[in-house]
Amino acid sequence: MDKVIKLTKIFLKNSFSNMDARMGISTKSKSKIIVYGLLFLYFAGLIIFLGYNLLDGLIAIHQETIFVGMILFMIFGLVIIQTIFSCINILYFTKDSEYLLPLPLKPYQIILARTNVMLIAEYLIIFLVGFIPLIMYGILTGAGIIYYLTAIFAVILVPILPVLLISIIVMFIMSFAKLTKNRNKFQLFATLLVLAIIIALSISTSGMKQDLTNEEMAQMIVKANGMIELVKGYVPTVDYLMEALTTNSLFTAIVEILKTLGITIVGFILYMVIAQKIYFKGLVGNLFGGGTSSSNKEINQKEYRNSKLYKSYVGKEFKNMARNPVFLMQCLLPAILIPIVMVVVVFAGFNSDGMGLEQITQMLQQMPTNTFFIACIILGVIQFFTMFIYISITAISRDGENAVFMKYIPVSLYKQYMYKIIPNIIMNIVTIIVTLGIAQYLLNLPIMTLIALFVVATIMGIFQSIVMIIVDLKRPKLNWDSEYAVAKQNLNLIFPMLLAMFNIAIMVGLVFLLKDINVYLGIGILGILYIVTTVITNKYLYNKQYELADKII
Amino acid sequence: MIEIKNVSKSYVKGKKSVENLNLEIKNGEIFGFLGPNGAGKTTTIRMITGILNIDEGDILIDGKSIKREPLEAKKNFGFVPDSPDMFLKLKGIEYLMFMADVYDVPQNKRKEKIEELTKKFGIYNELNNQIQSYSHGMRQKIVICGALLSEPKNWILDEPMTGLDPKSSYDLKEMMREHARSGKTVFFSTHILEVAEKLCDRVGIINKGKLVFVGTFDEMKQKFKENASLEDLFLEITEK
Amino acid sequence: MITVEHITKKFVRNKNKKEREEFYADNDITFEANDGEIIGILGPNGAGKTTLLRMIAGILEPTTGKISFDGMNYKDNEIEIKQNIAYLSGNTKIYDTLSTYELLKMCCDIYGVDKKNSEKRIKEITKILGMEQFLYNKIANLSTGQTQKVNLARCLVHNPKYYILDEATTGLDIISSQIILNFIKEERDKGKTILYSTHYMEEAENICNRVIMINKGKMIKTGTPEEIKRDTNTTNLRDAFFTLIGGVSVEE
Repeated sequence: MDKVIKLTKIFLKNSFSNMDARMGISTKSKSKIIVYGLLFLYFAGLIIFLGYNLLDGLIAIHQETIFVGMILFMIFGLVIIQTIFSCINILYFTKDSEYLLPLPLKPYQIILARTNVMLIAEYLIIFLVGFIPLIMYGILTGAGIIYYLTAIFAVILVPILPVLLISIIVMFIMSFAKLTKNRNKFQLFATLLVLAIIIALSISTSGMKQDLTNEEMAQMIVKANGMIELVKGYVPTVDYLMEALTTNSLFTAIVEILKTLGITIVGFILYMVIAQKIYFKGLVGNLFGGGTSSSNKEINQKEYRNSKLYKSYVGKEFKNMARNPVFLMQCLLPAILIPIVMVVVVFAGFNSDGMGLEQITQMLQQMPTNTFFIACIILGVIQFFTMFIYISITAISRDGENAVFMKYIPVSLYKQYMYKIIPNIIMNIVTIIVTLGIAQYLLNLPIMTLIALFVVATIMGIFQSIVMIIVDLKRPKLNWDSEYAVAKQNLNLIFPMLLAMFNIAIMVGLVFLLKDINVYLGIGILGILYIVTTVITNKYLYNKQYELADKII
Repeated sequence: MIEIKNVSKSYVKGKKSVENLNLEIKNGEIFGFLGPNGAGKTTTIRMITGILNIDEGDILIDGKSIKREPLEAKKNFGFVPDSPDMFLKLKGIEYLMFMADVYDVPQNKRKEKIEELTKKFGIYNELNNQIQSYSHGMRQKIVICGALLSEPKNWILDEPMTGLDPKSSYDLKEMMREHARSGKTVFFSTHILEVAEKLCDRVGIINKGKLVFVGTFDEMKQKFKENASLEDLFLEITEK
Repeated sequence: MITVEHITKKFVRNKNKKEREEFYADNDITFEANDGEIIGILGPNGAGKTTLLRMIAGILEPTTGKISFDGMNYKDNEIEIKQNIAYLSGNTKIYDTLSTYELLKMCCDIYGVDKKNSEKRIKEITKILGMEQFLYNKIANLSTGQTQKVNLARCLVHNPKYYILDEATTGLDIISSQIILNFIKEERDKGKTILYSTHYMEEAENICNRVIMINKGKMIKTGTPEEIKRDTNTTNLRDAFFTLIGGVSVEE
């Protein structure tokens, strides 16, 4: 046991300080505490606000016990999603495995320590989204000490089963499939699956967003209750804990907690037995797999064909992103997925509301749509979508230590910067087209307006791409060992958001200033404004191309 | 030909990482650049290749200044960096074709050159696989192939033998000799003295940013102790 | 003494999208490494050296064959064996957010070295390998040579009896590798058993009592460096190596 605790400590220390380094947080503890503190307060505030509103509504109609069920299921679901993402990495792809294997450690010690790391990471989040609402519930319903004690048990016990469950599934997959190279595919698949679930959920719940009459609310609650009842059958621990949390009797609470504890322990023993049997096999197989699969295919003569450098370079950028699931998810897919998700949600929402889509479009089209105000809204929406395209903001960092390559080949740096932002501009255009398509469907705008909007949005896209590569050049992250460090845990990713907000603010300002201006004139002014800023930033990038590359060593 | 003229570089003010370096690597010469880890080898190579700015002095590659005409100068050399983990997501052939596009290798030469180089290193059959699946040695080889594709006049190699098995490093050395014999220049850094002794026409030893010796290997032996072992020589020179 | 008897490791790999083929990473390897002996394991890239050493270190299970350490085997005495081996492979940074000292301390914990002895031992190792300067620096900030010293140091805290070193000096300059080689020689003189794989033939010639050459998974030659040179009619191990693998394309 002693060794397990020590191993856990080391793993934790390593993964948390790694995270710090990746988030760009300096090791100075003061600023670190402030950053974490602010983040924590922000989320806690958000959760309290949302939770309070929901709970308040439920108490008004005496259905507050549903809240407990919802929170417990949310914890359960969240842990499942989190574990899908972290488990395969923590169990199979941490760099230290080769080092741990020759140490005098029993397999179960390593597995236990790894499991602990996963659980502790879960608890941090569960505390926020699970424990705080449960306390709120206690305060608002005036619960006694038994409730709070039970809540602590609940928060500790609920995440364990899903972690074990997902880990077992992953271990089976890893030991049967020889997955030396399939981690990426697996993660991509899991990500898409989760995305599909989220879309499905948002479709099925999109009716909820509208203001509801009491009657409808009651219906919904019956529905929600029914759903909880249904799922509860499959997840006994949640069932027992719900009972324990909502009962008034100490005896019932203790019995239910003991039941949960019993199931968790059984699950744990099962997990350890399975892990002992198959974890190491899969681990070793993955670390040193049976050589690489080699395709001895003759090289296609076409491969030898010349191509223009810009094609070749941009092609290289695209290949690098498309073949790397993390970059694919963060850089390329958002351009297509986000607008589509929006479409699905919007359309499904209208339909479930009983109001036909046609009625909506008719209603919208009766209003004057061809105005500068509407044009700015559309451009604002495009801004909102394109800020999730992280191609340009990671253009340099994605290359990692290999970024010096740019500096020793005989191609001017400015040209290379351009080649690197072209994918961003292309993906921006994809988003713009999809968004304008939706807008056209809903609003039926004149073709001239669409073209004008397309041009201005594209210019804004170019401006964004140039600014972002400058940001990445000034603050590159070149020493990373996992793509997540660049495409997810990178503080630079705030900048596209800031710029989008800035752009939206400018448009809001223009709408107020120019009020009833002719739509083409308005778009024209906006266009000229962004052409000028784009030219200026481009000039800056060109003039400073060498100085900007100073950080690339 | 590579001319390094009075070059200095400091990362921190007042502390020079490379100080007043003068070197001339002539055509037809293999030049070995030696020194312990952290002596300034990498800094020097980074300045020659344009990765780092030069604080003082200048470097000319076939007469083109890396400071003033960087693109022209960069066309005149092929560079093999010390870490071969590059473009892991590209297939071998895609990487080589990309390099061919970057260095403007004419269409009719590509196939021949790629086949010649990759067959020599025994990686021809791997070209259709992603570089990610290559072993360290194979990655090293494909990077070397990429750098030599355009038949540059000057080769600059940073620790090229690391991770190569004896057969491959033998092949590489033979290629270096051939290259020098045809009147071109090879500049490489290494910390393996035996390699330098057998291969180099001249060696330079750098320590703490200063060039402490330039000359042939025999001169080095004469200048210091007559019969001392290589290790002792090296230690003596660098510990002064 | 480490005894390796008829060790074979078979992998299955994809030949192309459809077919799979079996291949032997190591095929029928047998040797003995006595106390007070350094055995060099030599061979081209992909010959099966690393797989062999991994099997001996207990990371990979051999397909067939037996490995024993002074009579102990992995089936019955896994923890005892691992308690007594030092296995070092490649030159990678692990736990690089820790300081050298913290890493060594952690290794002491895992090997069960008690508090009093661990301080003493860490001091000792620090001195032998010359790590005083960077003992409290984060591993992430160390140079290649320093990292490899740390890697070696972490394998030593428990005063192992058997050393399994896979390319311990790759990428190091002469000063750093000299320190490591000297250390290995001293350990040999204390009667430890050392397996050592390397690409540097000169190094092998210098320090190894006996050498085993492997090509394509098979042992092609074994003996003292002198014997091998004599048998192949060469003056140094490098030439002997080429004679023995006979200009065969090595990559296959």
